[in-house]
Amino acid sequence: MEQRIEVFPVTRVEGHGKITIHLNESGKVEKTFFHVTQIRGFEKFCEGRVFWEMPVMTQRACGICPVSHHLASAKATDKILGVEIPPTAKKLRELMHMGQLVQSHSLHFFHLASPDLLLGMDADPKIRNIVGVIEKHPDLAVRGVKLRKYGQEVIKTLSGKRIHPRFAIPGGVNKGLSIEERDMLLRDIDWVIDSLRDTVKLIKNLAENWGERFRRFASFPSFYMGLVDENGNLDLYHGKIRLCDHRGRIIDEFSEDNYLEKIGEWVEPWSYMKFPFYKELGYPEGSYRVGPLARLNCCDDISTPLAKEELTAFRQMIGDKVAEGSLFYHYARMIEALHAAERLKELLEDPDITGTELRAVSREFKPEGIGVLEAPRGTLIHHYKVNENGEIVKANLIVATVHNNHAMNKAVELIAKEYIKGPEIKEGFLNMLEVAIRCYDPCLSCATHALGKMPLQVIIYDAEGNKVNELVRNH
Amino acid sequence: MRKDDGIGLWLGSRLRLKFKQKVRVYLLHQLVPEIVEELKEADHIIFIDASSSNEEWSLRRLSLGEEEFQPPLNCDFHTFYPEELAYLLKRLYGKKPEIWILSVKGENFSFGAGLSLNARRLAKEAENLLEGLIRVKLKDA
Repeated sequence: MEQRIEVFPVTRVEGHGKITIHLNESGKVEKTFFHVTQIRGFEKFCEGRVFWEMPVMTQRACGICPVSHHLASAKATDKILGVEIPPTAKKLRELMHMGQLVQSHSLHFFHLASPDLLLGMDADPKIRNIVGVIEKHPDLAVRGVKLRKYGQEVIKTLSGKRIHPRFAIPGGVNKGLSIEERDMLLRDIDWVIDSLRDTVKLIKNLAENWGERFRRFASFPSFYMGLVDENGNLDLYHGKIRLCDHRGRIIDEFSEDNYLEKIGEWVEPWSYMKFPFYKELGYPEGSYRVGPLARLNCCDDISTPLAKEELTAFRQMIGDKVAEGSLFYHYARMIEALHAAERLKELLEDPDITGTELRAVSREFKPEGIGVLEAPRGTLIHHYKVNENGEIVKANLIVATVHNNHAMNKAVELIAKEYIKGPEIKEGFLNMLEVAIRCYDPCLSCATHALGKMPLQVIIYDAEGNKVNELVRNH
Repeated sequence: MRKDDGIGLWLGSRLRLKFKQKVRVYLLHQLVPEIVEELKEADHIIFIDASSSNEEWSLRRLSLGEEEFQPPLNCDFHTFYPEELAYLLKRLYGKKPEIWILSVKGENFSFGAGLSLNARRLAKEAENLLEGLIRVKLKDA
């Protein structure tokens, strides 16, 4: 008798998702699916709009990482203009991006992930939430609030708004940074760096204390993708796209302009989210992971001193260049946040940052443009084709969560196989499923849309489609 | 962008002009948790927002009694409520400011700028009430 289990919606992720698990006649897991159940249509309704609207329009895909869409879009429109933007504009954009990284990574760690890590994956869901963290570790909760505030302050200083900024424009940016604003942002940067360094140490201790459980949780070999600079260092804003295998060997390096030759998108009938893959290896063999862990697995090193030190410690701990366990995403995320904070300081101390040449002008435009950067959750690609009037005739957005679609499905499969053996489901199964998906910090908002509260529902069907059991958890 | 959804913005802008330095006004796209870093200094807080309920407007005081408080924190950051900020203020900073919530009914939430005539009328009524409340609080301070 085949059974089907549904987990819907998945909690503490940005957006809506559903999990179904199909069991075979002996009650063992046959196959699993992590569905994304809503369609957005963003690419379609970009068509017909003029390209210079894209940086403002496409960022509406999300309220958590609008800056990433805003900047990737602006980079694509620079290409349409065929210009190199002035150094000050480039640095100001990167400054905003680093602010976004600090706020987004802090949000994820302190608000979404810390309940699992600090209170334990097996803790009662009634207390395994941000309220539980606040009650037990109020000092950490304050740190999370302050870090997010700082990141948002960087964004607001540059654009006047914390969410959905209007700052980057085709060819540059529309506002400079005054000396007073720079000094205001510099005032707290050392506290931000120190706090993030302490947070890296916190998660390092957790990883060491959890030992094999941390290391082996939803662990599987895969390819990894991320941007690196000309020296092979982690680069979150620009660089070449590097693909590595599970041993850290470089499989390919390419410019964003060639992404269509390298990356394909597989479509499954059961999800609105596509499945990107490395074309040379095909699907699913060429599936890869993106995001903080993938980026650390891909890069040779990190340019800023404290994050570099932490990357070395991270690699010493795992005894390898590449970590495969999904929980290491949380560790990598905090090392990246530390790097972003250090980079913020470097940029703020750069004399160019208060420069006044903000925009490159062009009187003609090219038929297409591709922009790529590393969003908090992974590689983000914006690709536009325009007609002679500058109107979008085709838009293609590959967002970070989409790249990780296969990985999240794989993580769900591993957890299901571990916890479902026979007709009974082991205690803690739902917790583990949630924890596994949350490692990837999926922003289903970018592929779908998020709204409202998220109860957890599990429905078990028999082979004839009759409901035989139902579990509901209201968070 | 959503017409009457801007009632809070409209009222906040007018209060900012009227009270200048005496009252700090934050005009936000949405409530966010880090705003508690600003609110922790406040003795009195008034949240103003548009409402889609049938009540024309309502002003209610948020009770923060220890015994009745159930933290309603969300699973995501797309929706954040005054009650949650009150909880954070209390737990993270030990602050229990007096909190009021003003809701004003909007009737047109479609795309566009500016308030509908009815929403503007209701917002003005609410503004008079708010002014009175703020003046009393300033006098008490």
